[in-house]
Amino acid sequence: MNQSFHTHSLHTLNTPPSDQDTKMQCLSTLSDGDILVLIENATYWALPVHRQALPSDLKVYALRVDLDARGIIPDTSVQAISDADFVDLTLCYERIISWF
Amino acid sequence: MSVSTPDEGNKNQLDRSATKRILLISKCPPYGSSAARDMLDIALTCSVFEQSVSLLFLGDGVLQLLKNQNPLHIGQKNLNALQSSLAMYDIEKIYVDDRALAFHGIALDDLHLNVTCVKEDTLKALIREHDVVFTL
Repeated sequence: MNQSFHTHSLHTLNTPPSDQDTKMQCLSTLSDGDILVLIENATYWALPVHRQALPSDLKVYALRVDLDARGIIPDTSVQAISDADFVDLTLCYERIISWF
Repeated sequence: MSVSTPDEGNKNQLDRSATKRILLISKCPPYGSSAARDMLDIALTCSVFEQSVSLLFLGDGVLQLLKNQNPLHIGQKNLNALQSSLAMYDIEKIYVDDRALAFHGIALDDLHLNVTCVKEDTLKALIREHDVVFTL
């Protein structure tokens, strides 16, 4: 991944769509230009029916190993990334915020 | 394995205490904790001891049944493989929560096993049909 440095935040989420509280906490803190990386059980958010519940203009990534582990076919608007891509992304954002 | 009904009277009291109708309710997604795997281990163990086992996947538990799982790269064992062995243990009464499938936008064709889809009113009846109900 070839990314330039952003002054925005990278948010990671690891809770499934049944946990609405954590999702709401995460969404309420997103600023324009922030990105969301779905990891572990949050990769179920990449299912088309759940992706619709996230802001359509939000750039959403999902860790490929976690998608594959769970047999999830992600929505086309979600970009599957490798572990190495994830590391690259963390280096491109000013802060990393974990929602769990 | 025989499960006696209440109207068979006292002669079957011993049988009734030896064999329980057990309903295992699995509520957690497949990976991220050991709950899903633990529940399948419980199911297989109950079956080895000749208990009548039914499995109900409720809420996020339905996610355990999505097919084409490949957890090799997160260092976990494939739950689909363990699910495939349930039939060999005579565990064939497998139910899924209709509402949970709808919530996740999952169709029966997306699942690894043949299951019976149950609605909320049937869930209550299902629980009443069992002697022991265990959730995890």
